[in-house]
Amino acid sequence: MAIVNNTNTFNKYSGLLIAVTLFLLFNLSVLGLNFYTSSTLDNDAISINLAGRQRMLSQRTAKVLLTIQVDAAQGKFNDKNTAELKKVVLLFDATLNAFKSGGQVLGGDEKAVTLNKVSDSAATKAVDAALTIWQPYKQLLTPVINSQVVEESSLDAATDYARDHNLKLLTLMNDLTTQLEKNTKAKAGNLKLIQTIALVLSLLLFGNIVFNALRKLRAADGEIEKAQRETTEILNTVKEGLFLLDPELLIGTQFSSSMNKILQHDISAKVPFMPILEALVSAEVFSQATNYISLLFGNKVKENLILSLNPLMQVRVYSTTSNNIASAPRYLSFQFNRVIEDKRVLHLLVTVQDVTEQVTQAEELLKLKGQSNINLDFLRKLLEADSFQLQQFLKNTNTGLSALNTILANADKRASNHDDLANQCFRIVHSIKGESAAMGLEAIEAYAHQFEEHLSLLRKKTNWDTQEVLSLPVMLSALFDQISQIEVIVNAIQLHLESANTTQKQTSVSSSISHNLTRLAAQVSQNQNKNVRLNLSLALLDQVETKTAIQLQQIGIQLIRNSICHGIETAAARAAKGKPPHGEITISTQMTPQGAIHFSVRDDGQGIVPARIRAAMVASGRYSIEMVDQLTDKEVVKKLFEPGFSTASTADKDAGSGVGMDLIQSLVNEIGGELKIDTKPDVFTQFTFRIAQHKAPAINLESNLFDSTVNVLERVT
Amino acid sequence: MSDLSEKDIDVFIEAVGDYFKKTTQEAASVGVAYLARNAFPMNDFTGMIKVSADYDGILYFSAPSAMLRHLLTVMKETNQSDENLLDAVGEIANTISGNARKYFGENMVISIPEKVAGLPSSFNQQARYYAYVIIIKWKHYSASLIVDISRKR
Repeated sequence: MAIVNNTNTFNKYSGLLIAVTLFLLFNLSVLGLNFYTSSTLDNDAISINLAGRQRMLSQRTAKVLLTIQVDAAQGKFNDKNTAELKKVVLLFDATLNAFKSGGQVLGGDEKAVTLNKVSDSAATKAVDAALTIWQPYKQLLTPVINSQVVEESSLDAATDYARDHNLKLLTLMNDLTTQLEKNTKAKAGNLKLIQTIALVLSLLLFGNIVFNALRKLRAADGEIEKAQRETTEILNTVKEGLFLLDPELLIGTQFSSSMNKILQHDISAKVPFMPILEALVSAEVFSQATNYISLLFGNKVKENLILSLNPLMQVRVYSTTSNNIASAPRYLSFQFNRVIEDKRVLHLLVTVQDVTEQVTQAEELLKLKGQSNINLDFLRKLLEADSFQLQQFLKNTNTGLSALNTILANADKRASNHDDLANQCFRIVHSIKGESAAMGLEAIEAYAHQFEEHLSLLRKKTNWDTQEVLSLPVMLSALFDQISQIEVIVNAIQLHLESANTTQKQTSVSSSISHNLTRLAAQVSQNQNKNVRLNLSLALLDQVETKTAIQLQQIGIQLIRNSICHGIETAAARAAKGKPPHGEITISTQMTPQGAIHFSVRDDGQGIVPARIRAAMVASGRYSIEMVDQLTDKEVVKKLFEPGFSTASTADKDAGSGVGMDLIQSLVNEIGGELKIDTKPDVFTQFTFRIAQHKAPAINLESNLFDSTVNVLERVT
Repeated sequence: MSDLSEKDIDVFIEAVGDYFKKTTQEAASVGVAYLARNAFPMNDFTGMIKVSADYDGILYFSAPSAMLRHLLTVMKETNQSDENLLDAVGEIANTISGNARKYFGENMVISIPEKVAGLPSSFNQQARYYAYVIIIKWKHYSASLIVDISRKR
């Protein structure tokens, strides 16, 4: 990743880098040239100085020579003059020869300097001409220099030569100096020109660099601006909610404008996301989502592996506003993608979609699918069913639904609150659900279950809006419709049978109930993945009123569900306790010597454990730990009969809604009698209902929980 | 598509609620909602709307005369003849029909509202197996909104 980035940067700025390199190279070359020219000019200065000195030396030679001659005429001889002449002649000679062919000479400060030979023609010509004059001159001077006395003949010869040639030699040396100065001036002029050109070129190059750099910067700025504009356009147009979530769980600075609408919340940058989510979803989903998001920020977990764990893949959200439109059920889908750099999760890209329409359509489809299944499945089930039982079921259901409707119609006349209303409806619907399950009428059972779930939701709310109030008659109407459809079919079958002069084999109430309970136990144990054997001994039911038998069947239905869901352990748990792998439920009817009938349901499951009920009470949020601690075990067990209370942490089709025991209590009240509970942890639970129609209903809690055998009779109203 | 949903029914209720709020500054609220067969809770004056197209049936808004009189008083209408009371119930029915037209569009063809004093003649023919009855409360009065409309399958 880093290498690719570097390569990209180099490609982007290669032009600029080349220009800067060229600029530096060019300036370095010019600097080198300057150094070279300066050193040449130094040498030229030496040449000019020495050429000037030659002029002076030629005149001093002549002057000293003439002084010696004047002294000689007066008969004097000064060896200092001879020594000076020697020095002057040697210096002039060495310098002139150095001009001719280069070499070391003494400079003005008596130090040796290197003199380059002259190279241009005019100077060479002057030097050559001077040498031509100087050579004979030098020969004539040599005897004068070397003589210790005055030799008039050689002195005169030298003096005569000097008189003839001195001026010419001076002129030649002057020419040399002038020529050298001219050469130097020309060189300096060239240098200036080169420097000027170099400066101009350098400025041009620099200008080019600056121009290109600015152009590139502007282009880059433009691209950034364009990218930002495009991002803003995308964020303003996109239907989905898009935003980045940082590890502190704050919403990033850029997010799509549809976010406010989707989340129904004013979103701004850098606000914490979790409180917004908390207001939207249930507490359970929120806690799952919190875990899931922290899991995503963990660098070690693979995103694909935990994708299916996303609790917000399709979640029902609750409106924070109270108007009716907003309170219609909404579903959102949150998707999380990790933004990773250097193997570290920097952000989560969150995509939120409103999937209400899809979900509603899917539900609608499912409903339609269910309806089409009803017809075929129903016909088969209805043809198989015992007609008497079926008629009884329809009668009971119609009575139940009418009672429910009466409850709705009188809702405002009662002092009851919504919670109470929902509980009353719940009992009726739960009873219908149980009976339809026992009859094998799964479509009705499923619909009743849906109704129950809706009631559970309503039960949690303190205030119902208009649509929530309306939802009850709407669901009731749908259930009435279903029942009326069955009635039509059942009547048609009945007519057909009558016209064909055949009657269905009349089965006894007890065998019909046995058949229903067996079917229910098989279905529930299959749903709960448990192995259950059902023992039935219900012959006495044929001796009680049919209505009572049906009510006892209803009690049996609820207790079978409870036994399988809450009592009987899984095969593995049973094996660990040394129990046989299959659980056993025994439902029996017995007659006492006094003529009273006992209806009992016994299972060999884990028994009723007060500690578990206490834990469930606290978990339900209805009771504090202190309140639970103050209750005795018997009081705790009685809570099982409270509407809406369940020891199951989650509700499903078979149990956990917290209404089964409540329904049993109301059936016990209706029939009249006494309900006794016996239980021993890990051994059994037995409900025994003693039917005594003229006695006030009561519940007797007898428990072997603490190895006690105390019988307590408590009145429950 | 299945039957009328609670959202569909709420459209009629909102119309009544809005009418009372606009004319009297006091909103009407839903008392109870239940189902009725052959026993509609009819009052003294009733506005009726017949619907057709994808739907079939009649919607009734039935109010007691005392409620309508009080309504006229609040509206500063001194003429409280039966005719005026009928007009008041008709206006409410009109409001309901306007809202329903807006919500259901061309799927629901709505007839011109009719108004009757006493029991309506079409009363015996029910479109639904069970009609929806919504008791609407305003001050201490109760009016009935009866939605006997079914969707054609």
